[in-house]
Amino acid sequence: MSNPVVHFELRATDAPALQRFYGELFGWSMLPHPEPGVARVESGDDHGMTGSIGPLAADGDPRLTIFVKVDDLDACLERVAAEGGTVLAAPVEVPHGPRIAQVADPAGNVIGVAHGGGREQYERFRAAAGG
Amino acid sequence: MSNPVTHFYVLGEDPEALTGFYTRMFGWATHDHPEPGSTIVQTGAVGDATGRIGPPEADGTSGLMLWADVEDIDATLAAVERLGGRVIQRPYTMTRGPQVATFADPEGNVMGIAAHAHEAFAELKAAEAR
Repeated sequence: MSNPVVHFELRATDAPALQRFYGELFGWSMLPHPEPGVARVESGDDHGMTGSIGPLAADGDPRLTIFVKVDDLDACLERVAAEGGTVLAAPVEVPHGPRIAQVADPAGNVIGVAHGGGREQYERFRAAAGG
Repeated sequence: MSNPVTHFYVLGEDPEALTGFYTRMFGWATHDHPEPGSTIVQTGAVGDATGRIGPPEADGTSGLMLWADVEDIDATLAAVERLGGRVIQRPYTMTRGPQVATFADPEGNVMGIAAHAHEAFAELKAAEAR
């Protein structure tokens, strides 16, 4: 069992400006993403997380989420409450993407848990988004 | 130039509870962190992200933070200011760790940058094994 953190998601009030900032600062390419207004980021070649930078969907949305890749999403979610966390959003299938859920840790930080995702996932995204 | 995001912080008032939550949920290996109250988590194989779970920073920064590996801290901070971000923590060298700095992006998200963090982590693990 390794369950690595593989992905980050930044949500912005002004997503195009934040995409330009990180693109220029780190030389990250902003690549097509199936969701409108969202850019896909590959921050490293052989190591490093993938990410996305997109618009805030609602005021209360977390601005930064990190995603943990797990083998069994349902089994993981069943254990969250007993370990002191909270399941915030039940699993959804991202179009062309992984199955994800949102969890709050005991301090209230929001993290994503994903089945699928990471680098293989981005190969499928790349194919679907034409980038 | 790739400047990968390789590390994250989860900071909160009760780091022990947070460390317990993450290690029990995800089976992450832990390593001693030079700063008291902090733990390093290794989330996967070599090359996968590492993290630090610990108390809030002295400047009040808490919650989640991303860290990117960069070649040149000073050049990166100069670019941060040119592009509309703000330097939060000027460069300093962590105890038995890499040279690091933090900045806020134009929306106020605080992010860390570290020079050669992978090598510093390898040294930390080697010191632990001795």
